Amino acid sequence: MKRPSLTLGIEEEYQIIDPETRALKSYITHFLDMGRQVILSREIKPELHQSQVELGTHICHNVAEAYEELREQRKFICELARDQGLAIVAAGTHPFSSWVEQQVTPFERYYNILEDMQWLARRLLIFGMHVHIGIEDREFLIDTMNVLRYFLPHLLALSTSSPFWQGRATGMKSYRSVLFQDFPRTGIPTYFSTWDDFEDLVNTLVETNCIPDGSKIWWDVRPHFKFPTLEFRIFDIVTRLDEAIALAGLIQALVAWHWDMRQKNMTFRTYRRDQIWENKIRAMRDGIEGELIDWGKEAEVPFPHLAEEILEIVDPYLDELESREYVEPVIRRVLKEGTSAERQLRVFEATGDLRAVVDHLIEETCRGVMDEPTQPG
Amino acid sequence: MVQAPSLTLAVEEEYQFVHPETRALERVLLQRIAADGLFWREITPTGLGAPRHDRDVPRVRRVADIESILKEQRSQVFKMAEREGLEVAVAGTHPFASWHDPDEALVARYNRQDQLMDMMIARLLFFNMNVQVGVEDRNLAVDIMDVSRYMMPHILAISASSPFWRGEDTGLKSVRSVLMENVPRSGMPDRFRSWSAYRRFIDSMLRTGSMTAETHVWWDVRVHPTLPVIEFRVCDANPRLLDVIALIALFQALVAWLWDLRRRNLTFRLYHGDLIKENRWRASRYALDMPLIDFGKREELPARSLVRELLHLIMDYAEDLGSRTYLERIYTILETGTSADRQKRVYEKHQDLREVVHHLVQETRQDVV
Repeated sequence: MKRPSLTLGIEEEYQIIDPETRALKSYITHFLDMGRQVILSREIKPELHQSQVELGTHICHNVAEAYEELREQRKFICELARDQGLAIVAAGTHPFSSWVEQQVTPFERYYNILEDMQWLARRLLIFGMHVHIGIEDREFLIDTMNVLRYFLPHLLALSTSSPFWQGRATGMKSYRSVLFQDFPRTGIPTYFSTWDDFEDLVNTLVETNCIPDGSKIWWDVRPHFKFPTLEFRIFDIVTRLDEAIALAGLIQALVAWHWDMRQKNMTFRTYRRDQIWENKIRAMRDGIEGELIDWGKEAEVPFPHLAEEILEIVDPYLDELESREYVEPVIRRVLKEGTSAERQLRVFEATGDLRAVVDHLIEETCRGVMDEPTQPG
Repeated sequence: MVQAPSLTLAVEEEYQFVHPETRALERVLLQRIAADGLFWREITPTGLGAPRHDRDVPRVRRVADIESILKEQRSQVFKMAEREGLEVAVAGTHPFASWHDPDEALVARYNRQDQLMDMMIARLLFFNMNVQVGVEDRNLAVDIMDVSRYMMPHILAISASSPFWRGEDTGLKSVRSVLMENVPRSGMPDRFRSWSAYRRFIDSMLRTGSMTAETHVWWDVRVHPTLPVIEFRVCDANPRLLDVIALIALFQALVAWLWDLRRRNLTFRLYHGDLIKENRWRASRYALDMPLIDFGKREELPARSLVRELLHLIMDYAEDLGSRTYLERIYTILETGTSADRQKRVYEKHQDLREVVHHLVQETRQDVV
């Protein structure tokens, strides 16, 4: 079995904001026109709603490179927006803009999604981050997907950035997750015994016209349908650049850990999908402030304790992957100071004004992005 | 030896009390004729009434008997409503009621509420029809749960009655079945294989504070954790009593068939949960008007043909159980459409959701009075 390359790739879905009203701005078609004229080096991808814009990094060989790439990417989109008198926000939901007012991107594929998903699609105004890890051996990729499912709720908790929806505090830290799970083919994937087992499922779905290809499977983690990568999709888009990178680095190290165990004929135990889902609900609701279940101990454990355990697990791999400085101090800072969701709630508590939350998000999204490269953490 | 299932029947209906003029939803009454007695509970915009139990309920096996019990129950509910100057409607959703903010975080208080399901009904306002069939052997019950998952989308399609929600035409036929999946431990269950695995799961959920009562599992099909029954919760509540009875007959004959297969060392094939979910999604979205997938043949076939095939497989068992004529009612649904279809037609004609409520009130009475 070939050692995985552990390359990284990050896709982010950003909000396009009118800095005057702080509301979402349906603008992507203009960006696309400009992109064709001005910039050919980056692929701006539209999404269902015109106020969404997706960008992805190239394949990065290590976390330092991913940091630099993502910084460049955010700089690019923030500048592009600024030139049009707009702003960019990285958060799982917009604090107050309503889906009712959003324009749909006028491409056939989005009309098709609307036709298929109806009302469910219209209100799906959400923003995520996808992290790809290069794993070339397909059997190991499926094995990794099965095993790392366990940590999806933990990863979600650390990324939470959507406490508001349509102008209200939802009582959740990731309301985006609530909205997305109404779609078919979402959520925690089931256990697959082999790559063939997975491929057979996809082939059956394609053969029976459920999906045109594997790109329409939107699980929280999935084998990418084209690239030799395992794609983690559970995250709210993370507001701060260094926190996004810390999570990507954490996943990379978890895969390295799992690979190492595999060499020693060991593995992490796998649990039922229902059990992982139970933790996901808790993560959606409480973010890092609640308790998740340790299914080995069958006990509820405060999240910071579990996060420390994960840091311990990956500790032996951080130096080898040259990612320690990007991962460890940043995750610790999040545990201490909160995720974007908690920070947004604090701003709202202090100001009582959701526009102030948007201003805060604009600032954090660009933090450390516009300047020359700096040390993370 | 595996004990033959008794196939006794019980049913739970959820009644919407609506204002005769405004057609607004005033309150909801849950009534369950169950293996452990009769159960009532009221839900109002401001809260939950105390649950009431009455243990003196005859256990019945004949569909004809459950029909008369249900008729009697509906008549009583009508009288109760009349006394308050209200009318009664049964359907998967009330077309325009919204007691709570539509985007209120529905899972915010998950795991911390007793009577969670009633809370969810109050907040989401969707209504199931639940059918219990007596299966005493626990391992047999889990086996039937695993296997019968395959047919749940087909049966959901027949029962679809919730195209509208909070005043919106959702474009779906059963929005209830989609929203339902926001509730933990609901929707299509994963496979369990044995009673011990099932029980272990529930115990582990209780130990970890994930469930506060052992009955807090609400899958489309569940082995009841404390009663000797398998419970089908996949259906939207249905206005026409004849349709409700037909669905009850269907579930009973389905269990009888699966039991018979088991005795002959046969089983219906088991498929990947994600495949079954694909059919479930199609049923929620289109009910009978889109092909479902036959995973044995690996091809799409009209939903109506697949339901006919299912009826063909179980009709002999219905014959033995004396419920054939009730079951044959399903053929009429295949021809004339589901309640969701009828509601959409009424809306198309009047462009007024109050007319849809009126239509539901009439259908709810139609086979009773």
